Amino acid sequence: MKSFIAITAIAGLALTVVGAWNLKRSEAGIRYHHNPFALHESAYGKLLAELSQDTVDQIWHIGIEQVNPESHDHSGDHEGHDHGPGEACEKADQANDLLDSVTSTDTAAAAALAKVTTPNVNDAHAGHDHAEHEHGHPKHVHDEHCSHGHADHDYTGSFVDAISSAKDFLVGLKNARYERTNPQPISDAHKLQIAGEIEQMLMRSYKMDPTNYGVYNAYYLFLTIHELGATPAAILQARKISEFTIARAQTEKTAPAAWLTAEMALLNLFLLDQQDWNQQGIEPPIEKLREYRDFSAYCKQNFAVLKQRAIADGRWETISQDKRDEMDERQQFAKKTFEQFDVMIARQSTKKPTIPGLPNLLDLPVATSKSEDADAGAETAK
Amino acid sequence: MSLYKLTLTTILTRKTFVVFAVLFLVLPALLPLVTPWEQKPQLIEPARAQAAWGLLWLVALGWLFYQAAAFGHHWASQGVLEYFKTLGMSRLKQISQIWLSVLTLFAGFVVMVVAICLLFAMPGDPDEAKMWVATNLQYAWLFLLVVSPLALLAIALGTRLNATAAYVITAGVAVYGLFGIGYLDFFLSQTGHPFFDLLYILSPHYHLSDLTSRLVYKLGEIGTISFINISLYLIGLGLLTTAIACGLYREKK
Repeated sequence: MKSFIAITAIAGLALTVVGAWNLKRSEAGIRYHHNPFALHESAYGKLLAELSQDTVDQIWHIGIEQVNPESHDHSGDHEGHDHGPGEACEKADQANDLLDSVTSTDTAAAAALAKVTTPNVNDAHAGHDHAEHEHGHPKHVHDEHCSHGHADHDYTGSFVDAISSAKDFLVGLKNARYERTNPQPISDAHKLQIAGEIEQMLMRSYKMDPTNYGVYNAYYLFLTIHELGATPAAILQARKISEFTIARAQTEKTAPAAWLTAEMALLNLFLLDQQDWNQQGIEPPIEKLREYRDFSAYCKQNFAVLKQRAIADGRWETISQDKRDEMDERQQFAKKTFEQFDVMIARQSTKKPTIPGLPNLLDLPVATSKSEDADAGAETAK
Repeated sequence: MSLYKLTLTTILTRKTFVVFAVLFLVLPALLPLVTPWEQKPQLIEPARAQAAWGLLWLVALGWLFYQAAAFGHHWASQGVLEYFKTLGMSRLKQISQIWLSVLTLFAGFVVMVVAICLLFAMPGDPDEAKMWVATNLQYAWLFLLVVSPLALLAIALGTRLNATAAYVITAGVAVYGLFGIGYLDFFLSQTGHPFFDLLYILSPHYHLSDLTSRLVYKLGEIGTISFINISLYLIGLGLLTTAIACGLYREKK
């Protein structure tokens, strides 16, 4: 027995070393794949991404606005998020203002672009009295998935309502464990920690299905307009996930919705570019506008083709009505939004070309009202 | 009656395996229908394979290792192993027979999973179909290379400790090799400390046997050289585990 153990151990050690050494030299190596059982982007990954949307909605409304995922009520007595039922959400409006400023070069486009950033918040569900929240872009409709501040629910006594009531009660109990009763404001370190947790959660959902509009957009919004986000690193990450979503959608040859998500990601990329152009005080380059418009048309075309194919195969009818409505609405919105690109391109085209580094004299009266840089340029010209 | 027959008869009498057999038949058919497959029906077939292999890993981690640990524990504490020793059965023969009996039914599950993948999830394209068959066979081989030695370890630990402790240790090693290394990898990328590097090298890289992603994303089979290297590595780990298991094995507590 002892000799058997010794021989086995020596042979095992030798083979392990040889195998590991060879694997280490190979391209794939022995590095961990970080995707156990291939959940990411699989059918089950897509399911998890869909299931996570309720959580994402909750995080969006509770976590991002207050940066505390579990302590949230609508009584109006907590710091930073003090709106009662039916009142406007201050933080959401701030986010909206940011988007408005980003798209301020064209009012109609700004209104449209601000709307596009609405996270997937189960608009199809019937809401109760919170539904009038004037969040601007995050049109949050409180429904049975919402787990906070539901004192005004009017349960009609049906079985489904009873289940909702019971669920809300249990979630309320869970939330009580985390409710902050300390009147002192939450510390910055705690805010950071919670923000990190939220980001992890959003990223996990995003990895499960990068072409799911709800999870992609929630993560994008978190990175770009959340009060602890919008750092250069976060903006870079927002850019990366948008590009990744587009790349993933481009491989899609069956599911139409992926191309709509790609179009929205394209719009988000434009917003980020727009932000850069605004900072530099320049107009969007006409080539870039054309690029965006053309790629958007390409996405639309693919969506239309895949949708027609789904209808022909009889698959379209198997998709739930809510999802189909959602897609149609998004498609309409994308169509209207990207029509503004034609307007912007036409406006740019009518301008006379300028010599780089010198102000365009024809534009001076307009430019003076647009940016300080242009102001300076006008002064110089005078 | 040999120890092999005694153990196998005990497993058959308990009938727990019937529950898993039914689950193997039902879950790969039902679970894919729960997913949002409507937009993309092509997701269903890989999802069947994914469910079948996922279930097999769960059964290995949750049932096989516990069975092995429990037999080690019960046969050692009830004097069965000592009885067989008096009949002239060596330690090596004893542990091999328990191991074989535990794996006999489980091997049936492996065959079942491969059959599900080949019958109900086979790609339509002939080239992809060939790759699919090869990947499934590679997966089954690498899976057994990981699971079999760990079952041996569970038996040996069972003869030393109680069943639960033996199971927890074995399952812990397996879970660490399958998932825990991911966290270590994270530390490595953050710190690059030599200690973590060493720990990483010495860790059992059981995750190499998880080929689910190759099936789900239809990546095709692993290249021959890589497959040989992974096999060598896992055989080596298996032999080391066998050596440790044989060293730990005792007929009496």
